[in-house]
Amino acid sequence: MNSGEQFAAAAYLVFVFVLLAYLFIQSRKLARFERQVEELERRVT
Amino acid sequence: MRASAATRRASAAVVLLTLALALALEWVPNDADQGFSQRIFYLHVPVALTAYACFVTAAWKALRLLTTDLERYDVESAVAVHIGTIFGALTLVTGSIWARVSWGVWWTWSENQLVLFLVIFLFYSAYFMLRQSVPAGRRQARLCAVFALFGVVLIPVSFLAIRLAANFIHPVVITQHGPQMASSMLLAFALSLAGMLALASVLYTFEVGGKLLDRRLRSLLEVTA
Repeated sequence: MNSGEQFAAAAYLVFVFVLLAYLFIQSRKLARFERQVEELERRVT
Repeated sequence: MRASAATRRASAAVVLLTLALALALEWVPNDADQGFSQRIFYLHVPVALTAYACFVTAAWKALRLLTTDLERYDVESAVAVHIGTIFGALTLVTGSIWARVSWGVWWTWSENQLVLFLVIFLFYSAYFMLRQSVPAGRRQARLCAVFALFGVVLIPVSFLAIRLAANFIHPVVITQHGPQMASSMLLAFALSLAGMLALASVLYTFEVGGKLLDRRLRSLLEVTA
């Protein structure tokens, strides 16, 4: 791999990494919603 | 937003971005001047244009908030700024990598386009500081809306800066005479841009849905406490 290919690969990998990090954060938020819904269900029943 | 519409858009984003990536890395010819590294263009420019689109969306939603006073527009404007800031950060990082391989430096202060984009990015980063520093409510929503509306003024300045500059090293490929690139390059670029816009739209839809759900859940928990 020459330096041009390495830099291009780095740019695309940064994009993928940021996208995955975003999805990870959103999945954590979704897990919190599930816990809150369970809490609500427990209070209602 | 119905789940099926969001799912269709998510599928479109995956297909378009996969196709664009395959074309950009395998199909389009190497640039005569920059060689393989020019392929960063198919990532960097669509990401930058998507950031602009997000900031314009944020301003539109902010305007809707100021005219209707509906709380939903505050959430939509804030999420658009959030997604735009992420794409803005990606623009700066991918641009910096491209600058390093093309110009030999990670950053140069002599380029109006770069500095103006950094100013836009910092301006919208400050949006979150404003949001956190004011208690949640109508005042916060209206202050943030005015901030988001002011920010959008910077976008045409940034977009035109490179075209107004007399001396520049930052390349211009889409001029008033049309795109200055081969048709294969234009196709890869168009697919990448469409994919990026679809991706941003999906992230926006899910994040807005998540934030509205969060508010409803919190109020329900307070009521049932």
